[in-house]
Amino acid sequence: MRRRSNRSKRKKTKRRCSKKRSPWLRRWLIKIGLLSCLILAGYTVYLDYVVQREFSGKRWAVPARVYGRPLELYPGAALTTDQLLGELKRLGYSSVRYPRQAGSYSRNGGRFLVHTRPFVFWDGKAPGQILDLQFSAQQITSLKTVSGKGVGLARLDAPPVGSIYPAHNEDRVLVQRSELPDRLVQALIAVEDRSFYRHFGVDAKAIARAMWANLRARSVVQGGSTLTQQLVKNFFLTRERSLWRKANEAVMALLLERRYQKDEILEAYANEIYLGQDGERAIHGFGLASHFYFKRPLHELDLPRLALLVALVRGPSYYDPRRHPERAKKRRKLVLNIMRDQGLITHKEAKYAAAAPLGVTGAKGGRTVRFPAFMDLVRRQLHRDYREEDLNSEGLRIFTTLDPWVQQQAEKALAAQLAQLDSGRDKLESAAVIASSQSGEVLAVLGGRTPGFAGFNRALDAVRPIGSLVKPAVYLAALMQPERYNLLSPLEDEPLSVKSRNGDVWTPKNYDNRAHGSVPLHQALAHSYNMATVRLGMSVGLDQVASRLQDLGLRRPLKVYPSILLGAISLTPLEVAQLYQTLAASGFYSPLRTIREVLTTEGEPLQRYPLTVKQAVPADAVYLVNQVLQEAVRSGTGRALANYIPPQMNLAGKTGTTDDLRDSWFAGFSGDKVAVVWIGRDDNRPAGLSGSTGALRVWGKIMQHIQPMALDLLPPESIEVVWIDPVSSLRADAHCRGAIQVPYIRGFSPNERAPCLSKSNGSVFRDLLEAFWDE
Amino acid sequence: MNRFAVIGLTLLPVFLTGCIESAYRAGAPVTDRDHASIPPLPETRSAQSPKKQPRPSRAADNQEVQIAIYTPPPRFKAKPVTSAAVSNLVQRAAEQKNRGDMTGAAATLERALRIEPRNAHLWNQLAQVRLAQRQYGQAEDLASKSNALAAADRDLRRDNWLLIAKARRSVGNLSGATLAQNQANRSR
Repeated sequence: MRRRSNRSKRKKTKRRCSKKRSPWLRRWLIKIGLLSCLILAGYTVYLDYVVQREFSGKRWAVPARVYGRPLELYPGAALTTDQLLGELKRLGYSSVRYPRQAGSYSRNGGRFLVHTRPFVFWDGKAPGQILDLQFSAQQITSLKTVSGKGVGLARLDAPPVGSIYPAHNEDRVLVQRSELPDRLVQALIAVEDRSFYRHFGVDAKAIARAMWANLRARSVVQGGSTLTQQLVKNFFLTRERSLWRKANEAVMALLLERRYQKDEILEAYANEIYLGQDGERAIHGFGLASHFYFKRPLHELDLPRLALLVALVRGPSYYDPRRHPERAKKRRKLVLNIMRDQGLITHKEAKYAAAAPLGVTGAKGGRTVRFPAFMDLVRRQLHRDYREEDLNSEGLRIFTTLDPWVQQQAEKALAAQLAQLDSGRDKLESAAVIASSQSGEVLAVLGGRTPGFAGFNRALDAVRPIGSLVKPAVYLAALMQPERYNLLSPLEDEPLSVKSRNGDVWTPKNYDNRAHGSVPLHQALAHSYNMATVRLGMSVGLDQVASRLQDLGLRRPLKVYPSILLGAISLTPLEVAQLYQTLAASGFYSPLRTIREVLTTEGEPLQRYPLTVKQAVPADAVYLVNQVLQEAVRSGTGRALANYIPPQMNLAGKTGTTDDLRDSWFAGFSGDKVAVVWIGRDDNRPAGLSGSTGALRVWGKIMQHIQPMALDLLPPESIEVVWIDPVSSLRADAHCRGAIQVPYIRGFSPNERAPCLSKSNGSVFRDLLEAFWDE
Repeated sequence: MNRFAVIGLTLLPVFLTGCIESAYRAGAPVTDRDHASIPPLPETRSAQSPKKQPRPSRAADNQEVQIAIYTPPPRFKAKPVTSAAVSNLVQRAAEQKNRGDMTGAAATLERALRIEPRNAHLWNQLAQVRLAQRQYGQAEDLASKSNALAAADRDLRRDNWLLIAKARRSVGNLSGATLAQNQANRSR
C-alpha cells in the first residue's frame, strides 16, 4: 500500500517536473508506460490462455491402447507350462508363495494358482479370481476355482502390446485422482512439495529452504519448485534454465492455481510428470511408468515400488533403476526416510522397503514397440475407420488378434534359420505372416529378420514376384472345369514357346531343365513342372486364371500376360497369405483381420469387426487342389518339410522360386493356421535360395514351434472318391490289384471299367450302384 | 430296369454311407507301408536341386507318386470334437440369442470358433444368428462353410441347406431357394 502511494507521489512529482521541462517527453513516457502495461497484461492473458489450453486439452490426450488376444484357459487346451509362464510374464504377474493379490501366481510343478486381474473385455467385465490349473503332457488337464468348483473356460487379461501415440512420441496411461494410491500422493507431497495444499502455486519458504540446503551441500540437492510449478515446467518441455523461464513458470503456476482445484492439479501432475525414456517414447505419468518399470497397473504397486516412482521424479535418467540401480536405491531410501520422518510410515516399514529389491522388470533398453510390423498393420486397418487424432487422443482400447506367443516363436525360428542360411557378408532379409486359416485372424507379422526393428515392413510393403506360388490358382482354374480336367488328366510337360501380344516369344523351362513327358495333373503341380503348367494355363485361359486369383483375394490390378502362369506377379507376403487363406479355408475367403473390437476408454463397446466368410471358389475344386498341395509336402517340392514336421500332420504347401534365385517363398497351411515366408534381398540381388532350400526351412521351423493342428481335409458333398486302376486311369474297385482311391467332382469320374474289372469278381451291390450312376 | 431303379433308390443311403466311409478306411495297405518307409530327407539336400537329386525312371516316378498321394491320410485327432469349453460358449450364445443380443451371441460363437475352428456346428449356429439379424448373404455363406466342414453329418447338412433356402427366399432368389430345398431333401 505504502509503496504504491510512494510511487504515485513520485509520478506526480515527475509529472510536475516534466510539465516544466518538455511536454512531449512526458507524453512519450506515459505512452511507453501504458504500452508496457498493455504488453504485460496481454502477455498475462496469453499465459492464462496457454495454461488453460494445456490444462484442459493436453490433459486428456491419451493414446489408443492396443492389446493382443487374451489367452483362453480350459480343460483340454493345448498349452504348455512354458507358454503359460511366458504369458504371465508378459502380463507382469509376480511369482509368489500364495497369490493373495490380483496379478500374481504360484507354481508347484505342473500345478498353478493364478490370481487373475479383473478386466473389461468386449463382452463384459470379468472379475478377478484365483484359478487352480493342472498341466500334464502339454495340455491343461484340470481347471478349477480355489474352492474346487470346476471352470469350463476362463481367460487371462489381454496382453498390452503397444499404443498409438502422436508424432511427438508421448505415451500415457491415464489415472484419475481417485486411482492414485494414498501412499504415492503422501510420498510425493512429502518429498516434492510439503505445503502443496496450502500455497498459491509458489512457495517462497520452500525456495529459501532449497537454496539453503543446496548451499550447504554445494550442489543441487533440493528444488524449491512446487508441484504446480513442476507441472507447468512439464507442459512446456524446455530444458532451458533461465530467470525468464522461472518467472514465466511462477506466473503460470499462480494462474493455474487460481483456475483449478488442488486435486485437479495433482491429477494432471500425476499424468504429466516425465518419468523416463523408452527409445523414442517419453514416459509420462505414474500410470505409464508403473507399466514401463514394473509391467503392472499402479494400484498393484507395493511401498518400495511406489517410493521408487517418487524417487524418479527428481531425475528419471540420473536415477534410472535399470541403468543406475545403486543411485535409484539410494534415492528411494531417501524418499522412504522422509516418509518415515513425517510419520507416514513406521520405522520398520521404511527399513523393510529400503532393503527390498528395486523390482523393475528386465526390459532393459526395451523396444519402443515390441511388435512394430504387426502394429503397422493394425494402424493401417484402423485408419480405414478412425481419424489419426482420435487414435492418439481418445484413449480407445483396441483388441487385436495378435498372439504374442506365436509372434515370438516365429521371430526366434526365423532368426535361427536365417543365421544358418546366411552366406558371406550380405545378410538375407525375410518376412512372414501367420494367420488363422478358418477366420482370417492375423496371429503374427514379421517385417524383417530383426525382431522389433521398426524399419521397412517387408510383410506389408515388399512387393515381389511370387513364382510358383501362383500355380495352385492355375490348377484350380482347370479343376473348376471338371468335364475337362481331373487329378489324373494327362498333361504334356514338353518345351513350348508362347508368343505374347507384343510379339515377344517366351520359352518357359523347368527348374531342373528337363522335360517329363506326359504326367498326370496332380504330379505336375506337386512337382511344380513349369512347362506342363504353362500348357495347362494357356488351354484353360489366362482370363480364367486371373479371375481365380481375384476370387482367392487378389486386389491388386493384374496385367494378364502368359508369364503370370509362372508367377510373374508381384505381391507382398500379406497378399499371398490372403490367397492361401482362401485355399486353406476350403474356398471360403475371410479378409485377413487384425482387429476384433474397439472399446471406448470407459470400456463401452464402440465397434466390432466380425468374422465374415464368402464362398469365393467351389469347395470341391479347392479340395482337389489341397489334396495335391498335401502331396507336394509328402513327396513333391515341399518334402523337405519332413525334417521339421511329422508326416502324419499332412500339412499342405507350395514352394516358390523366382528367376536367378532372387526370391525364395513358401506358403502353406495346417488344419488351423496359414503361413507365408519370403526370403530375399532388399536390393533385389539373387539370394541364392530356392523355395525349398530357403523359405521352406524357415516355414518348417516356425510351424514346428507353434503347435499346428493336423490338416484333415474333409471331402465336400460334391466329391466322390472312387477306385481307379493307376495303369489305365479307369474305374476299378478295392479288389483290383494296386487300385487307388481318387477323388473326383461328383458326376465326372470315369465310367469306363478297367481291365481288372472285366474278370467278373464284382458284386451285385456294385452293379446296382453303377446302374444308379449311369442314369 | 424300373425294379432296379426302385431298389437302387431305397438302398441309396446305405450305399452312400458306405461310399463316404470307404473314403476313410485304411485304404490300400501297400501304399501305407511305402509311405512309412520313406526316410526323412537330410535338411541339406535340396528338394529341387537337379544335381543332388537322383532321378528315378519316369514310369517308376509316376507310379510311386500316384500311389503315395491318394492314400487317405491317417486320421489324426488332436482335440475332442466339442470340448466342455465350447459347449459352455454354445450355451451362452443360445442364451444371448434368446435375449435378442445377436451381436453378443455372434461374439461368443466367434470365441468358440477360435477354440474349435473346424467345428461345423459352430459355423451353423453363427449362420443362424446372422439369419436372425437378416444378414442373408452372410448367413448363406456361413451355412455353406458349415457344410464344407460337416463331413458325413447328414442332419447338419440338411439344416444348413434349409437355412440357405430360407436366406435365398428372403432375398427373393426363389430358384436358388428351390435348389437348396432339394439339397436339403436329398440329405434327409
